[in-house]
Amino acid sequence: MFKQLYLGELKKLFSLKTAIIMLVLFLAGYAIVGFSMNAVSELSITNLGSEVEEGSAELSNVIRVSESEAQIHLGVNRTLLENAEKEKKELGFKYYTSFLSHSDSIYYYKSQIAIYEYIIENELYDTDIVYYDSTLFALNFLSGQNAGGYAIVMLGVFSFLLTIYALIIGSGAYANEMKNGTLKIVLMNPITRNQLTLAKLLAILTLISAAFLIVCATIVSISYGLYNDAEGKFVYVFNALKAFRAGPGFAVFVGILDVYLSVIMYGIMSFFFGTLTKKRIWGFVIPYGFSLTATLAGLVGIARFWPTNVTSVSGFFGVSGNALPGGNFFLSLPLLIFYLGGMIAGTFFIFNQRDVA
Amino acid sequence: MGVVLEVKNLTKVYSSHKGLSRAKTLRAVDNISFEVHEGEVVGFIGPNGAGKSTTIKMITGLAKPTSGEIKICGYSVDKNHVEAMKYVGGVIETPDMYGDISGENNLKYLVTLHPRETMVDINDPALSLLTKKEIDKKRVEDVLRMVGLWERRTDLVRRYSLGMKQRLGIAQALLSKPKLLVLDEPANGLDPAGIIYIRTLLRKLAEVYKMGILVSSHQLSELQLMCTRVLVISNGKITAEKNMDELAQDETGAHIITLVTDRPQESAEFLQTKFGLHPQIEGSQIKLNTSIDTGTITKELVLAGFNVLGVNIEKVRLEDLFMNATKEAR
Ligand SMILES: Nc1ncnc2c1ncn2[C@@H]1O[C@H](COP(=O)(O)OP(=O)(O)O)[C@@H](O)[C@H]1O
Ligand SMILES: [Mg+2]
Repeated sequence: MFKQLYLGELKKLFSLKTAIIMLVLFLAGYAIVGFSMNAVSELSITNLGSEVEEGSAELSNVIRVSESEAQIHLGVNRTLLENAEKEKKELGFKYYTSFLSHSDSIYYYKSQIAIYEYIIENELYDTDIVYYDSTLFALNFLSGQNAGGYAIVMLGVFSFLLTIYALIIGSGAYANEMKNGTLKIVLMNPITRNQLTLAKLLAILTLISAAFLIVCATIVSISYGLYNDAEGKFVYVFNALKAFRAGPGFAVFVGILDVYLSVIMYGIMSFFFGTLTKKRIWGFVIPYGFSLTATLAGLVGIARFWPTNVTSVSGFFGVSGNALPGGNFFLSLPLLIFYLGGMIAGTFFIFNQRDVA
Repeated sequence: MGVVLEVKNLTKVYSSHKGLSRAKTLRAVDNISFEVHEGEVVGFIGPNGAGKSTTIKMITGLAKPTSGEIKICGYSVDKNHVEAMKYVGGVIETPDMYGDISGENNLKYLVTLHPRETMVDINDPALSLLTKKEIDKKRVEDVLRMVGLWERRTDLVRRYSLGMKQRLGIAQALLSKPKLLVLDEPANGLDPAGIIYIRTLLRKLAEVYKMGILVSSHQLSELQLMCTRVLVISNGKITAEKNMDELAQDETGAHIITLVTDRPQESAEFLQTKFGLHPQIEGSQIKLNTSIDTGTITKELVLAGFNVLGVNIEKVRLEDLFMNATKEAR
């Protein structure tokens, strides 16, 4: 019985028209972005090349140090960390407020320390070490014309389409049937409301996951088809605590994880708010509003708690990354589970209590 | 006769919050109790806003009662929801369906939500051999034919007329061979032929399948000819309950007689002088509200040389009952 319910919801939520429109947008967008990205990256190769010659490799996330240099860097970063921590104490809550979302400096220095400790521990002197930084990394990856960088940038660009698709699917799951009155004929059957909510939830997750898989598979296979993997010794830092080595594929993996968590968040948010307000439009607008107001949340110092920010847990696998002031993997992950769990439980609860006609 | 629906002390209070003003409460259904037995067609009559739809929504589990209990074939709608829902089918307020797919596909989807055991008569060896899919397919065809939509089954529902939607709604309600059928104003939007069709269908369902049927309406004339019993609801309370045969027996009072004669004006004058009546002339029709036997009236007219082309008699007892029982509301 539940299987039939689930398949029914899948059919209701899936619209071939929407899927085709999204697919066309994706492919057309891919052609345009891909083409212009090539042009940009060719430009940046020349630019970056000249900058490096001038000795200002600020943009680079490549470290090459001798033993003594490593010790110096370690010492400098420890001092900087101490200063930053002092400054944080003085600032109090102000530390968490920022006009534009900026990354946490304490987090950054701790990551640097972890990297140099790793270099010293493993005696990785006088060799190129690429450390992962979710923003810098993509840029440098791109300038090197390699598969991973290309994939990460493309994922970032097209996560927008996936978000829209998640909002379309989630927002109407309950609200549409309420508006059309078709909920009456579904609920008059020998099923419980919880079963129907669960069927809807699973159908939403199935559809957005399928869309996500199509987009990811396309991007990753094109990237790896066009370019080779980047070379070098790749170092990641987990939550500014400990550095570890993994291949460039790990960067792509965390990029994918990021997009997936965010798409799931939008899908569930839109389901929840569409159900709560009984209006599809609110299921669409409110989650989007959360992402638009993330900057305002930064202004009042609560950016690290913001629902649309806690999905970027991949940022905690690098240096600075997306770590907002006070940000922490062990804060983001429980919050993510709390928000998703709360909204799912809320949807079940609301659906169960309500008069549907 | 088995009880298919048992409603006990059912109450629904709506509270509406508007802005900052204090919440207003409305007793849409106020402590009502009644039963529906198998094979019975019960009319649920009341003016607009009386609480008919609210009652029906609670029976079908779509709205939660404030207090009271509802049992379908002995199963509580609240406590034993899934079991209770196996035995009920209905159309509530408007016959809403998925507009972008055909009528047949609507039913094909909905029929999958019913378990096999409610769809098959265990005593029917022919059916017990079929797979669930085959049973579903057969059932969809059966109900489509029953409501006369078989020829139009592949049309998109949004292209259906309101009457066709009503029929599809009834087809949907019949999918699981329910013991209790609840229809909320099924005659809405139907032409006279459609009303007659539904009336005949409902009577057959009650007769042949022993379904208990609860059918609401705000118009008496629709219910008069198909019900075995009527409940009158007004302001959320049941104010009268009568069996139709009881009504027929204490038939002593008035009729509304509609006559069509070749010379309406002259026949009206004749009736006025002969019987002291006050006939109303509407086009070629003469309407009389009288307790004089119809046979006597037509006989006298014919003897006086008028040509009586048509006679229609309407019992006004139910009308009276309705008017009295809803007086308070007006
Ligand atoms: N969801 C609701 N919220 C508030 N009041 C309602 C709601 N549904 C119905 N009502 C009110 O309850 C009363 C009964 O309505 P209803 O059962 O639809 O009447 P009927 O079907 O007999 O015309 C009406 O006064 C109506 O305005
Ligand atoms: Mg109504």
